[in-house]
Amino acid sequence: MNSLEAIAWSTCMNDKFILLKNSVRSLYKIEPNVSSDSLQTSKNSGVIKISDKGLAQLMYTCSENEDIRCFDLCPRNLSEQILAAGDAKGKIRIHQFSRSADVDSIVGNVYNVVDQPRHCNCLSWNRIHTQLIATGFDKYQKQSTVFITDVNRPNAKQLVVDCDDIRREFKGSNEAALDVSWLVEGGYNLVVGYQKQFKIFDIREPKDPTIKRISNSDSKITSAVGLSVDPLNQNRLATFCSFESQKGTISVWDLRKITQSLITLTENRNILRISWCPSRKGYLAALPTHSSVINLYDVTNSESDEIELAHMDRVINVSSDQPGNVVSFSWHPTDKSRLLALTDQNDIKDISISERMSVSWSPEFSLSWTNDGRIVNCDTTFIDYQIDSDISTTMKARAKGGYGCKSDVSSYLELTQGDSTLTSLWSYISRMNKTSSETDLKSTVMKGAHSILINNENDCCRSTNISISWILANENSLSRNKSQNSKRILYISKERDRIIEMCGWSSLNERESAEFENKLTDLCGSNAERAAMIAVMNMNLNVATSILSKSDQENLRLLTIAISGFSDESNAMWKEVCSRLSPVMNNAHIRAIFHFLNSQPCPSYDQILHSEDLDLGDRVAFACLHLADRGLQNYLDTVMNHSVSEGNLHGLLVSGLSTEGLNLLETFLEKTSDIQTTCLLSQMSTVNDKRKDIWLQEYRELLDSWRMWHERADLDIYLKSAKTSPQLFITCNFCGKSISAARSANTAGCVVFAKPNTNMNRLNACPVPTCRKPLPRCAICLAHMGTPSRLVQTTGNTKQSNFSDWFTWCQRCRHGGHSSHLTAWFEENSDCPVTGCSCNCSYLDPVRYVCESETEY
Amino acid sequence: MYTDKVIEAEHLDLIHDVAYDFHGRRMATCSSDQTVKIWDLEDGEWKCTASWKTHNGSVWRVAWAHPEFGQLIATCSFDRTAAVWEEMPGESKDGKKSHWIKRCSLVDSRTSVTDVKFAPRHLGLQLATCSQDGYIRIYEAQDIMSLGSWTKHDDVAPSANLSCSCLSWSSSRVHPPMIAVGCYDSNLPNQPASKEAHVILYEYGQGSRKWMKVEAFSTITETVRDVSFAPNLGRNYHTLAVASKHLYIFSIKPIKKDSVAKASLEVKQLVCFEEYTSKVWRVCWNVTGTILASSGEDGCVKLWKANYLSPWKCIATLKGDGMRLSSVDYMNDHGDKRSKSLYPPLSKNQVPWH
Repeated sequence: MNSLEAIAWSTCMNDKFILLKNSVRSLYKIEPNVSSDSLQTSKNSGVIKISDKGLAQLMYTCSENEDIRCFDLCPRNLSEQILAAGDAKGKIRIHQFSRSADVDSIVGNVYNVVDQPRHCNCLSWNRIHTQLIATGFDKYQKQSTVFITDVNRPNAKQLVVDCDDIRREFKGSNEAALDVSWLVEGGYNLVVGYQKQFKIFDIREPKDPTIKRISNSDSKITSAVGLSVDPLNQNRLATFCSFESQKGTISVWDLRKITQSLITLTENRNILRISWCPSRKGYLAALPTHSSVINLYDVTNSESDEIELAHMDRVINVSSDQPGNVVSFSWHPTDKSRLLALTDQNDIKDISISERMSVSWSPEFSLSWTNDGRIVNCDTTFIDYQIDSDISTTMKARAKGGYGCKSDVSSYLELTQGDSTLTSLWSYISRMNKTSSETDLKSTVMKGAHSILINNENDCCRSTNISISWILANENSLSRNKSQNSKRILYISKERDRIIEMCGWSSLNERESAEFENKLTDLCGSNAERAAMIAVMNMNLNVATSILSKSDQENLRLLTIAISGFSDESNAMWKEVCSRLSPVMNNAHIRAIFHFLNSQPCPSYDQILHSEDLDLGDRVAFACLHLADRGLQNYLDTVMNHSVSEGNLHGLLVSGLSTEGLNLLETFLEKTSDIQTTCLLSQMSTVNDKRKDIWLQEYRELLDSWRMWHERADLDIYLKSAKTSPQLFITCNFCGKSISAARSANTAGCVVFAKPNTNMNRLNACPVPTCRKPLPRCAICLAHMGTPSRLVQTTGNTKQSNFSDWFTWCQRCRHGGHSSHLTAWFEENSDCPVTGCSCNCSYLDPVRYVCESETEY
Repeated sequence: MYTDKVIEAEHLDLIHDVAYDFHGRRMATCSSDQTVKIWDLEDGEWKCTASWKTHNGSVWRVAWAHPEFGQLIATCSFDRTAAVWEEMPGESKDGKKSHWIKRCSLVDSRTSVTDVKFAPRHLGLQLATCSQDGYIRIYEAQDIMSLGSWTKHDDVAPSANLSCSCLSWSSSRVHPPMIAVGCYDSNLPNQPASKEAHVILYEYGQGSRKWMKVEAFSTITETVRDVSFAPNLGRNYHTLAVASKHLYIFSIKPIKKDSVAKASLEVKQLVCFEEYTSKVWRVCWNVTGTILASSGEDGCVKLWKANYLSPWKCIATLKGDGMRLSSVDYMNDHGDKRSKSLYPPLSKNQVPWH
């Protein structure tokens, strides 16, 4: 049999543990938060790494020439740890872990418990009567195997211990005792495990100490090779056995009804050790033999006592990085769910079992989780810029800024700053809005380039082709008609003009006008490259060079040389240099200029048309100028399909808010989760599609969950959606006529039904002209409704009758009065103001929870 | 300034669940001590406004109904029941602001009820429970004014051998109602683990008026501890996060078919974080379904995010105890607080953020 290898937390010092190996007793102290550098430097001085951030420092070590079979730590609260060890010869020794003077008089004592040398199998120190140690021994003839020793009597050899009437030997139990443990309550009961049974002894009963006995015949499964008493539940005991048939069976017993085990857990391997967690209810750890893991069971008991249930809570993987089987473990006596494990590779691991954390995320970006009896509440917007820039926070900020409920779309440009796609989209929409003042915004945006061009089914509008020559710099009109080479064929039609206008380009006719350059500079702002490109594509090299030469960047000014070098005759060298340099040109606009100039005499504009770096609007406008009907149609088809599959919002220019456009929005939504923009854009569409409604509902619900009811109401008003018919009518109690109907006939306004008489001096309380009966009285001031409340004076606002004069009532008890009176009443009371009414009116309003801490914002 | 609020929950035992209401102004927690506590945000502080014993066993989960149905929560417990509670205004005996009364006890299960969830608002007041005996039960309140009567709509069992651990409703308005169920093998370990799919999807057949199994995720054969559908937000697919041995995210896209026959689903596993070495306990989505939070055995909460430019990745790791470097210290060291995470370096066993 191998010598004992074991590890145990100190019972009196929380940061120390003992290690027993090859008869060497060592005491370690845990040094938390030591960097790994110090591990390197002190490698040989007994420091071992036990967890990611903890090291253990060897404090004391002592080698004894004895074969320790079992041990238990002294439960006395001393300044140093002491330990009782039972050896193979049946002797018990008391050791201490320090070199200083003895901390207790019993240290160093040796007790000869048995006459014949035999293995001491188990040892347990009584936690309450700390002078008592119970020991279990191997079988020897008919002698007893369970003994109790009083440590205060070192040389006690007598059988009966005196005053406390505690016997030290249990007769009649001559089976080998394999495990022994004191029960928690009182400290008088001892449970002993045998090969085939376990017994519970009461040491106060001198005559027949056996009070309970479970043997093989009593119960189907009996097991007692090892046992563990639950320190948190005095009636609970777990045992395991090693029979072939019941290998690895763990039973949990209730000592009050010991006839049958409560729960049986089956491991398929032999078990080395089980132990209840002393810091968490119902946690039972079981260590199988030759295993690198410790299994943890959660034994829950229900109060109804009908069922007890154990489930495998988790597997603690002790040596995940290195191989090695666990040989011993020990629960920390006080720290929650912390244990120390020892492997046969001499690794010691300090493991804390974290609680299962539950996570919940509020709509307002606050994340809560539970940990160790606490709720941790974390505002995620502060964690990381990636979360802060998440679409959820972005949408909320935009909604707060009035995104989606303003008629002036250009104000959205500021809101969507930082998202160039959205900015350019809204500037496009606002441009459309301005240019087509005669039509509604909706109808304009709805029509994309594709639907403008293709009126009927697959029938592209015919265009006229014209041939236009370059306007070159500093050239007289003579050269214009000189050479056919210098001309390019352009296509014009009404529809094409409209698309070009949508794209923001000026019409082709303007290219020769004097304002052309100014227009381009207005359009492109500081982006001189783009302005030059548009000029070139409009066949006006003069303006292009002029724009570039005014640029403040030197390399752009230099470019004018290259552009003016272009001549109508095909200049082979110019062209070759041009095509050679085009890959190194960084700016897509510049690249497009040279590609366009260079694509003579066989125009192929593919590189321009499919350049992703160019704005889609520019590309479409270019296509409208330079592509023939068939080519243009194909091009628009390609662009539209591509944008739809990519969810590229620029593609709305081509698709418009047609069904294709909604498809595009759907892809956009899937990619960005931006329900807000999707909803707003889709609402501009006139297509009948159920997705529009779904998106609107989703967005409104999102606003609701953020408690942005005003924003939602603004949106509803702006979109004219969610029409609600009048929900409340008040009728006169006497004639049954609707009060609001009667009043609106006179005053024609909303909220009339609650409007009191405007003339404060006239106490005209009759609402219905037909019956001339007064309205009910206010529960507080007892004046008739409809007469003004005198508590609060109106403050000038005559548009609306003072809110405090409106009447309101409790939905349950139907008592009510002037709202100001009731508000004042419910500030101090929660009950109804009417005599004899027990209604808790003010608590009936669930909305108050949502509104209460509104002031935070 | 960046602060974590740590609230002592004062539950006597393990807390099993925490849930926000629709607006995020109230929280409910439930525990093994058989009680539920309600927390209200008052002046920026969370205050416990109600605490009462709900069941005769550990309370596993708690869920809020949409506020349009009133202040309603549902709980489920080891004591084999699920219950619906409504807040009643008025002072209670212990000086708390309100008290909660049991409107209904759902006693159909013969074993521990492991999860309870309310249906999304547009489906009316419905709730689904799942239990250890492997059944999913769907209940509906016939009349939202009388919450005492819930009728059992349907009950289905995904598998004869498996127990259900968790469920989630899809919030989609676009598609038929859908529920995902996570399962575990209730047999004790070391018995041959079944290789059945542990995540199963159910869809409500509008025609048949029955819940029908539409998909089983055969790739997941380990214990599933949590499933969660991302808020749909009008997308035409569902996103489902699964907490098992690893963290999985699936996209489930119904394929439109011309025939009237059962529409099939296209299930794509978007990601499986195998580097999540420890088990995953819980998953939870943010309001737009763009960031996923997960908690795991390593005692950390991790946040995951993806967009169309980059795949799913961990963007933050939060220590479970809420302890970390104060951001002031951090700012002194690095200046730009936004450029990096605010936490101390993690040890080698933990997955670093990116």
